[in-house]
Amino acid sequence: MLRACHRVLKPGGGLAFHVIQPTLGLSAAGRRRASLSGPPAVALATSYESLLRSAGFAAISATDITDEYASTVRRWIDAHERCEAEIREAAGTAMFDERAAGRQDTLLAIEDGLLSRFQYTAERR
Amino acid sequence: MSFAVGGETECLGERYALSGTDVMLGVEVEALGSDYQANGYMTIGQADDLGRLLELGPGQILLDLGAGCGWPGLYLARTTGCAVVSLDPVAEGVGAAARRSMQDGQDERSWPIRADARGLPIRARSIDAVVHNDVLC
Repeated sequence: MLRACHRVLKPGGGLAFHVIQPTLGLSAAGRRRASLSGPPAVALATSYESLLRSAGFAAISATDITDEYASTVRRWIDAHERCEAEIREAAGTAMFDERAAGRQDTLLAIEDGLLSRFQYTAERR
Repeated sequence: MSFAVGGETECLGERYALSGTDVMLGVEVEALGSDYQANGYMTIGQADDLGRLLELGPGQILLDLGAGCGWPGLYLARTTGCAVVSLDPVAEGVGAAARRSMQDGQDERSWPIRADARGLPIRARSIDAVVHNDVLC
């Protein structure tokens, strides 16, 4: 997909994206838990910097935004709890419970240092 | 790397229907500061940061991959004056993005497209900037 982005960008054009990934240096068990607690395909083995370079991008910059990620997950949890009755009515009890459990699991994985979120920017050469 | 395909897109379609309800839009405003039926983690402040980093402005074309219902691409088009191609594989998301761009009066510089990001149906070297939010994992 990064190669596809490179193809459509004008020379000098910018790419910016956010990704959730397992924290670098985790044990195999830690990576497994991160994979289960994050988005469906969170287990990326290669670094995004190398993927961006391979796709032809330059001026690559990575910023750790994990703290903001944790704050945002907490706000989702708090807002869901405040509107619990209305959401249960709109979404159904099963979906509400599934989402609530998923957000709590994600927050725990972030707080345990298993999941990170980064902002990457790069320029098409 | 992944992009929502197959059964996952059907699940997202159901999610988009729910995210358009008043209660979920209120929750989204509280969590992200946005009201584009988003359910991820990009806040309005982070979207503004991307607009500044990419130096978006009138006359430029932004490509938003995995745009869902238009967050953050439609928002960045509204706040910076750029045009936006909102690309997503889920019909419900693309439809919602089209309706939102009309509602905001920015449909003349907004092109929602239903497509998979791996085979971008876009001419080479035609886009000024690309954003995506938790599409690559």
